[in-house]
Amino acid sequence: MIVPLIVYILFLIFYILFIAAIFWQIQKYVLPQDKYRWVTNIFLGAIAVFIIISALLFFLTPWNEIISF
Amino acid sequence: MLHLKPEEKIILSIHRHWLVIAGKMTFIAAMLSAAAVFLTVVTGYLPTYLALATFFSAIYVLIILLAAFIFWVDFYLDIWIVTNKRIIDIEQKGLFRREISEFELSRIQDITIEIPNFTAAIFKFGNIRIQTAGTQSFTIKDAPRPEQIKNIILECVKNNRN
Repeated sequence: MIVPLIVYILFLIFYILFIAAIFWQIQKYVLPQDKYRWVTNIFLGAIAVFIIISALLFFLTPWNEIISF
Repeated sequence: MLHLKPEEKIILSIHRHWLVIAGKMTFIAAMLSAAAVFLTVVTGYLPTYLALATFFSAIYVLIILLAAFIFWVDFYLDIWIVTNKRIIDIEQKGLFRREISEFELSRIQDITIEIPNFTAAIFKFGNIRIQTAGTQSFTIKDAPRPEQIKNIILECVKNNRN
């Protein structure tokens, strides 16, 4: 299970850093009174939910069985 | 970051028409439904790998969400700002590359509206081409309510000259 775990953690680190970079870009350049800010929050919320779901699914997957099979 | 000059205020900020992003989001929705189809197939034929397939579907959804977010940023940060002194054109090229150009309202010579096709006529959007005193002309692409925007810009130009 250790190899899939390392790969998954590396994927998450890269993914979260990428999202953070995009979010930083938005925060820096968006106009203060822009009326579409809520769309960005919906994206971030959905991404957070799916990161949690993927983490739960990762630990529910029987990796040892799959690898030995 | 936008820095306004003293006594300068934003009159209007223009994004492209929502139909531009709606087309891309339809593609994203189709890609997401592919994950649902994949899971249904796996549940029926390979129940042993259901947990693994569900995990990879979640990863797939994360990647598609990232693509949708990138489409959104490209749409959202492409903006034209009309102030009482100038027009600023901020064009997002790719994810982290931007091109910002601006010109004074006093340099505007001519404004042309173009409704390029049937869809644009139905959904009321179009291109606004602004000819300035220099050789360069600026185009606001897929702007919603182009007639109204043109009138606002012309009003600003008139006020700026008085």
